[in-house]
Amino acid sequence: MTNGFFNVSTIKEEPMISFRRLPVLLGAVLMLASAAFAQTGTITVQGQNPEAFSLTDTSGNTLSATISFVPVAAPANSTTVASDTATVRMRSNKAYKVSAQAGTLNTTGLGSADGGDTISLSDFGFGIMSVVNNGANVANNPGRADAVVSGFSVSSWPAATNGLTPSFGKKLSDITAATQVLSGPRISTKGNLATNNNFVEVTFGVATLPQYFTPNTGFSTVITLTMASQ
Amino acid sequence: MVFGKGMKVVLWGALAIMTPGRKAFAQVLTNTSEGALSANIPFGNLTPGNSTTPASTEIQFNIRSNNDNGYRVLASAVFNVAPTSSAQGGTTVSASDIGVGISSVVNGNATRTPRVDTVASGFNYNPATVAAVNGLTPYGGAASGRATLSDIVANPNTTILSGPKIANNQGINNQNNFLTVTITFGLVGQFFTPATLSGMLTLTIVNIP
Repeated sequence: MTNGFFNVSTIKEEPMISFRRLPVLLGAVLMLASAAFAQTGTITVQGQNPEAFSLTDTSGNTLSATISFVPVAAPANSTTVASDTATVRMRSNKAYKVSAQAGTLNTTGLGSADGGDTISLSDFGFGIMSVVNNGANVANNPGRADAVVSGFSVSSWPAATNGLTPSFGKKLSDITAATQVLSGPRISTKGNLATNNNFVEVTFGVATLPQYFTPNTGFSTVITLTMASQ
Repeated sequence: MVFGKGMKVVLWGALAIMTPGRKAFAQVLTNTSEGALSANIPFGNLTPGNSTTPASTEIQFNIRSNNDNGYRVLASAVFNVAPTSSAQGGTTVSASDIGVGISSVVNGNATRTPRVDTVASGFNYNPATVAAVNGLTPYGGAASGRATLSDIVANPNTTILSGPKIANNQGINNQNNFLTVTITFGLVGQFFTPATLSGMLTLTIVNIP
């Protein structure tokens, strides 16, 4: 047999691959084959943490508090106002602001005025009595700067002079439209409404001085608090 | 083209391995419809609630292997968060907030028994049933027995499941020769920094050599 140029007898025919290398090659092919059969799948995880603002009662439930003046004390020889409070918990993952708005003062069983005065929203003081913001999962703590809008911060109610409605810093009549009363930076570092240390606890107060207003069997108004992004 | 005898042996060996239906070892990982596994886990809007129960979702897939030495399922992951607001001193969701566990392994009727399929330490739990104490992330990581996506991100090709030969063949037309594995993910909606989150978990089944 010739290849055209050389006499085959002069060429030593050798295997293309040495048998001594077979185990290595076979192993390599086995590995490649194994890799070729390695099956892969993918799982994609997706989600969103939305902007979140929460205003709840002290149990983490929807806020529906009642500030009660019932029974209304009879006018007395006193300069001390009747008052009550409602405590709310606020959480947010962003800087916030809170506004308050008082509805119409409704009365029941209203007698004749007979030339006298009937109780009105301007006879009720309204304000923020305290802001507690030192929970372990409260952001920017210590050093938070929750700011009560001027006039709404109440450390104690003013005394009545001459038995008349005292000079409240702010009255319910000042918030007949939605009015910002508080603002601050992000509140919660994390956690949810069940977390016991990621909120700012705010106590709102309402006060009035019992007087010889036109008789009624009851009065009420709804104060709506709204929390939103700054 | 001329092959030497050695090459011929190697090629026949490889052909035997790669020919479906032959007495060869191989492994297959599919979704439960026997297609390629490409699943989405949409946690959706994670609005914080007044609950200690994590949001959870699960994915099932089938694995087949007729390798005499058994199989391993490897996991790798990437995780991304795109904040839509500044952190302002708060916490942003991370891979360590997402619990990952193998909540069940169900044997097909034609799988080899008795079986001892081993879920890796830390992954042998159901994130959906872990209470979020105080409304916070309840998963401490694999070392604590509650693995998170962070464990996988930090350790690519982590073995999460292994076991002996599953069946004598790995054909996907056989509806009894596989294990159905359920992976459950858990995440507690919290007042994390506003953000969108996404991650991808890649699962690979390989032979134990």
